Formats: sequence, C-alpha cells, structure tokens
Amino acid sequence: MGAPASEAQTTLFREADSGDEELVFSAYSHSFEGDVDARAPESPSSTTWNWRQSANPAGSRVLLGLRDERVVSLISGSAQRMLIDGEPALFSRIDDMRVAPEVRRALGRPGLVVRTGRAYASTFGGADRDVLVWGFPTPAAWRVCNWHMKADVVRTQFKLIREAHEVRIGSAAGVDVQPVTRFDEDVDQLFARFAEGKGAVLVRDAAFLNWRFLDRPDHTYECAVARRGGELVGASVFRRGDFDGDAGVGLVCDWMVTPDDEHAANALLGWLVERADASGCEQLVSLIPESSPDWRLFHDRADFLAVRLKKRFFLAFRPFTKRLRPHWLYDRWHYTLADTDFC
Amino acid sequence: MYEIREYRPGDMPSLIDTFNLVFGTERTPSEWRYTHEDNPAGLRLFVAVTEDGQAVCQYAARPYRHWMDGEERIFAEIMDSMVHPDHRAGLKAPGLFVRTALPFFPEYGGPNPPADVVHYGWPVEKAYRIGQLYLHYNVYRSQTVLARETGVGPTELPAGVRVIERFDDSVDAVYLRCRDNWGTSTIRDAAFLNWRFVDNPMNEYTIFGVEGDNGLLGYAVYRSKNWLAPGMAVLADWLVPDDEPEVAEALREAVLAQARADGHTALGLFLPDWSNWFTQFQRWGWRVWPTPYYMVGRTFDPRRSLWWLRSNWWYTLADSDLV
Repeated sequence: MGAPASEAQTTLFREADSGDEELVFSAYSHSFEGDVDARAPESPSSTTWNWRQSANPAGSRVLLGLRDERVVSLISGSAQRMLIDGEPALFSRIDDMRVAPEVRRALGRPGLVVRTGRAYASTFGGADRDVLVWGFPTPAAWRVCNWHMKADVVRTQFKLIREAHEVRIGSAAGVDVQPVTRFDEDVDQLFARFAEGKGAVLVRDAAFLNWRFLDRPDHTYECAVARRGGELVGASVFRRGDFDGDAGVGLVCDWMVTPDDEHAANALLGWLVERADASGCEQLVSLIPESSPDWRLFHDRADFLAVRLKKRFFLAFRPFTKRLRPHWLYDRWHYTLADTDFC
Repeated sequence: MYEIREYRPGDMPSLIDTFNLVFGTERTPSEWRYTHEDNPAGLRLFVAVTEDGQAVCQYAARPYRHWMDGEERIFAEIMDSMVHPDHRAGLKAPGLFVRTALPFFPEYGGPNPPADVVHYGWPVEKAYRIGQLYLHYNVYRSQTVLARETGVGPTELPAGVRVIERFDDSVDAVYLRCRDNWGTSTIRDAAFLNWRFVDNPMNEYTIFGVEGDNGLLGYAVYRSKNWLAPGMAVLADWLVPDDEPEVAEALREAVLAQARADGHTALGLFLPDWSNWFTQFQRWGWRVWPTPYYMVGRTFDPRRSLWWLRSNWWYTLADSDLV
C-alpha cells in the first residue's frame, strides 16, 4: 500500500538547489523540532550551509519534501569521494533527517520519514552514483532505517580514549612535525601510499583536507604534517571539542601516516599530546575501526582504551551494489573522525 | 515433499548422519544427547524429514535459563543449523533451511514465560545473509574479542587459586552478587555450569576458583584450544563480583599461568562491550580485536528492546557454542 492518493499528490520530493536556502532555513527555524534522541535543530547559517553543500568537492546532497512550497521533510547528507579497492566511487553520509512534527504521523503508511528516506535513496543512491549511504543513526532512526530502508550494520562503534599525559609514545627520531595552514599537493602522494591495500577509504587529498578542516567556517582545527627530510610521511588534525557526551576532549580529527612508519606516528602522537595540553584537554579521543592497522597503533602501542559509543553506536549503511556486504565493509573500510560529522 | 516439525527421538540417527556430513565431524549419539536432550533448560529443535524418514535439515538452538526483570526467562542460542547438501537451495528463494526455520520462532519464542524471550547466535557469513533476508535477524553487535599475549611469567597457579572439579551450590552466592549489576544474564548455578563445562563430552575445561571464609568468591573457566588465532587459548567464562579485585587478579594470573603451561601464546575471551570488566581487562593488557562474527538474533518481548539488550545483557563464551 502506498500513501493515500491525495497525500501522494501533495508531497513533492526533489533534490535541493542553490535557490532553496531560504526554504530550508525557514523549515529549520519554524517547522522542525527535536525528539528523544536528537536535540532541537538550529538553523544553519548561510556560510555553514554553503560550506557543507555547494563547497563540498564531492558535491551536494540535500533532499527536500515539499508541501505547498513549504519544506516538511529534509535529509542533508555529505557526499564523499572514496576509493573502493583503488577505484573511484562515491559514498554519502546522512547528517540530518527532519520531518515537521505536524505531518509526521498524519500522512498514512508508510510515513513521511520513510518516504523521505526512500526518496533520498532513489535520488542519490545507485551503482553509478552513491554506492553506499551511511551514518550513525539514533536508536529511533535506526529502527526506521533497519525496518523500512534495508539498512544494515557495519559495526558497533568504539572510540579510543586516553588521558593525554598517559599516551605511550616511542622514538620519533628523524621526523619533524610542522603546523600547516594549508595542505599542499604533496599530501596527495602521502594519501596514495596510505590508501594502498585499503578496501574502502575516503580520498584524503589536498582538496578534501582543505575543505574539511581549513575552510570550515564554524570550527577551528589545528593541522600538522610530519616530514622526514623533505618527504611528507604523515598528517594529523586536532580540535578541542565535545564528543559522545564528553565536553572539552582532544579530538584526533584525522590521522594519516605511511604504514609501518613508527617514527612518523610517534612524532604526530607527540604533537597531539602537546596540542591537548595546550588546549586544556585531559583526554585524547580517536575513532578508528578495530579492523584497521591504525587501531593497533593507538590501542596496542599508544595504550588508548576502547570504549563503545554511548548512544549512536551503530555504524549503519545501505549499499547500492552487492559487493559492499557487511562483513567486507567491517574488514576493509578505513575511516576516522574526519569521515563523520562528529567533529 | 518434506515434513517440517519439532524433533522426535527417532530422528536422531539420520540427523547425526546429516550433521556429520555437513560439518565434517564424527558426532556421536552421546554428544548429540548432551547438546540437546541433557540441557537442563530444555530442547529447541525443528527438523525437515523426507518421505522416507531421513532428517535432512535442522534449525536448532541451545536454551539457557536467564534472570531478567526478577524472574526466569529463556534465551536460546541458535547453533548447528544445517541442511543436507542434496536438499539445498540458493539465496534467491527461501529453501528448505528457511522453511524449517520459520516455524521455529513462533513455536518457541514469545513475550511471556515460558516462551523464549530471545533467540540469538553468531552465524557464519552465509547464514547471516540468509537470516537477514528471510528470518528477521537483527544485529546485537559486531562481536569483538579481548585477547592478550601470555608473555613470560609463572606457569604455576598463584596462591589461593584451586581447580574446581565440580560446581556445587556455593556458586549461587557468587552469581547473586553479580547478577543485579546486569540487566539480564544466564543463571550461573551448578545445574548450568556442570552441564556446560563439567559434563561436556566434547570439550575439556579447567575451572579455577578462589574461596574465602564463607565459600566461593569467584571462578574462571579455561580451555586449552587454539581458537580464532594460532596459539590462542580460551577464557570461556568469568564470574567475579566487581568488588573483589584481589580475586579477579588471582584468577587472571591462574588462567595466564595455565595457558603458558599449555604452550599457548595468547588468551582470548568475549565480554559485553558495556561492562566494567571490558575496560578492566584492557587495563590488564588485553586488547580488542575484530572477529568474523556479528551477534544477531530476535527478541520477542517488546518491553525489552534490542537497544536495551545491547547495553544490559551479560554474556561470555559460556553463553555460546563457539568454544
């Protein structure tokens, strides 16, 4: 059974374009509200909205549900350029999903939440577009996505935490760490080495890193690169912020070190500890899959402890190609906080 | 044509034949009886039988008596489910395996006692996919293992630790001290523990205990078996109250010593990722590693959601048939 005919006629789903800003901001200000799992939304600023969407080098991902020229539902995502076994592909991460409360339950079955989700999938998902849509849903959103939208689980997500002064750091001989205000193209070669052997990884080239961290208007990040001689051997990003219910923690927002380069890793770990101290952060927190070699670095060598996220602890996804199965993604998908909207 | 129904005693011989063919084992009738008929919590088994009486498919579970909301409930672990190779279908249509499984859930599961409140398991990838497609499996978690190298150290048991030959009622007090910190858990009494570890005809376990003036204070169950990784032995169960750190440390040293003595280079265990012990073992040098498993299942009591179970259900490898 679809929605009642009258309803189907009055709700139009379409991809947002640059002229929809005022409609979107008005919906955030007047139509949407929070629920048990998600705080009430704040209307994004035009600058932030444009950074998230039109300035994203991977493209824009906003799906609107409209009734009488008013936004009654919305999904905003973030497109991500990926390498899947070395081949370019696109993922999209769901950042926000809203339905105006007065229409949430009044629109027949399936409800508008489900139909908006399906519209996002049919608009942006596909073997030749976003091959995978993912996110960390709230418990309520997970129930809907799992039941109605064929969403599955990649993993129960842990964070890795350690008191900054207790991080175990070995020798960094021969490696220097320098802060950067812009990533140069030599980071592309570092990423090429970093990506070798990884099944799925977000393309961490200069275009991405500069957009993600240095062009972002509402957060300030500290970025650094590690060099041995003139060669770039690592990069990391730090910010003091709130995460998973903890305020003022030192977030390891990104981490990219040539595999097996212990000295480069130690140099950047030392820099992270220094930045945590300087920022008044007692703890450092990172987010890495336990299947990744970098998990072993942080967990085994640097002595970070694994703690399950408190609430949004499922990394959920819907694939649009059979190749991206849960077990494969669990084993082969590398990511950090940079891939998420947590920092 | 197949008859799909609950297991009857006459099914056993051909069911064992099918089992041994599918899993490449030599399971005996006594081992089969132990698994299914001798379980103090009961039997959960559906079969598909051909017209000539051959049992060619089973969908089975191993029930455990749980404590939840102040009463006994049953959680049942789906295990050893199988279909004879000559009677299999592909993934595209519900085959005999799915048709045998489908009536299993309403027969045994339900919201109120004595029905099973949860069916769960750790399926291999193919069974996981079938379960997702046809059997409404939900994911409880991606399953990790805590593991550490045994390293260099003693091979003798530490002072105060003794080997327990058989559980008795003294274990009840230990379990009672632990259970109220957990939302739900298998009732670790002598009936369960002796069936699970002492009377098990398939595996040998060593049980270490620490006693105080008033009886048992905690125990750990060890198995010398290479599991998940070469050289890794198993810490199959762990029952120590949170406020007994010295008991815990003595048992930790006992299992490490035994693993070293047996020539194992590592030791691994399952613990719920929400529990204090999950963190404590990390502080003791255990590290979190991935496994090939998702913990999946179905719940039948709407008062206790999957989300609640993910953060309140105490389990170890004792609650599984993996070791």
